[in-house]
Amino acid sequence: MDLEIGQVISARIRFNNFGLKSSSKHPYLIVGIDEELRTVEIAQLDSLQGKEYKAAMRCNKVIFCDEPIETVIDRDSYVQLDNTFRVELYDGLTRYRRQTDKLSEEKLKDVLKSYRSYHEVHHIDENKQVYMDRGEFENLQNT
Amino acid sequence: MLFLCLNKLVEQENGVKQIDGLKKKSYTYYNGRIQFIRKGEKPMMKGIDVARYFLSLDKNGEIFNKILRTQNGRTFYEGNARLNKYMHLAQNIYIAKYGALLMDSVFYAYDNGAVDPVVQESYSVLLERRDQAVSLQEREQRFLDSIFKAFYNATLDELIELSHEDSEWVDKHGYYRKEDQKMDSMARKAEYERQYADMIKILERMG
Repeated sequence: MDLEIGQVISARIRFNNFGLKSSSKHPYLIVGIDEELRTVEIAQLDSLQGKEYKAAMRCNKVIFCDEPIETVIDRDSYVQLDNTFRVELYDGLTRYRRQTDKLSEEKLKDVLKSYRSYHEVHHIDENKQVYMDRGEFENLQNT
Repeated sequence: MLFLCLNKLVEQENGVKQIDGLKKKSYTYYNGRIQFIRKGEKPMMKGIDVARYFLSLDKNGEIFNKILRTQNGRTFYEGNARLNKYMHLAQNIYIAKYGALLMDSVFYAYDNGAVDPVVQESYSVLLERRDQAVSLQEREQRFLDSIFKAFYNATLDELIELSHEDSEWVDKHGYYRKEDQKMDSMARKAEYERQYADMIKILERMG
C-alpha cells in the first residue's frame, strides 16, 4: 500500500542545512506528497507532555489524542509548522511507516490548513528547508 | 466620600471583606483596597501579588534567580524576564478563558517582551521575600499553578518569543515614548480567545 497524507513515519532525519541530525527515530506526519517532484513532505510530531507551553506557540499546531480517539498518537501532541522537510519518494519509504492508519479526517484537515497557512504567512529560513534524497535518508536510518 | 459611606466592615476569609452600609452585592474590599465590581464578578488581583505567588512556587530558586543576560541591547536578570513573561502570558490566557483581567498590571511593550515595570523594578526585593505567604482565591491559585507548571520547562528565549507573538506587543513595540508602549490587553480579548484556545484546553487537562 502506498504512503498517504495523514500517516506517520518513524525515522531519523537531518534537521537543518548546517547538518544537525536526530540521534534517534522520531515520528513525522506526512503532510504532502508530490508525485511530479517525487517527494514526500513531513512535519515533526511531538508529545506535549512536559512541554505543555508549546501549545501556545503559533509555530505549533496541537492535535488532541481524543475526540475522536486517535490511533496514530496516544497523547496530546503538536505538529511543528516552521520547517519544510522533504524526502525523496521511493518504494522503500513505506518500511518506515508506523501503521497504515491515518490521523482522523477533521483533525487532519485542520492540521494541513494550519501548515499551509503558516507557510504562506511566514518565511521559512532556507536553513530549515531540508531535502533528503533516498541515499541520505537510508544512511541516516542505518547510523 | 466613599469612605464616609462605610458603616461597618464585616470580616470574611481570604482577605475579601464585605462592606456593610453599601450595596453588599455591588462592592467588595480586596487586599486592603476598595474595588468596585459588578455582581458575580471576582475582584482583580494586584500584579505584585501574582509576581509574589509565582516566586513562592520556585522554592529552590531554580528559575527565578539573578543570572544576568544581555539581549537586544538590554541587560537584565533572566529570572526577572521569566517572571514578567509568566505574568504577561497568564494575563492573556486568563482573558481568553474568563473574559476578564486576572491582575491590575499595566504591561509595556519592551524589547524582550511585555513587562510590568512595577514588578520589574521590585524584582530583587520580591526575590528576597519569596518565602512570604500570598493569599489567593481558589480559582486564581489553581490557574496560576497550572501556568507555572505548563511553562516551567520553556526556555527564556521561548518565553520571549511567546510574548512577541502577542499582537498588542507587536503594535506597541518600537515606539520611543514609554507612554506609547503601554499595552491594552483587554482590547485583544477576541483574538486571545482564538490564539489560546488549545492552550486553555491543555491547561484544563493538566488538572
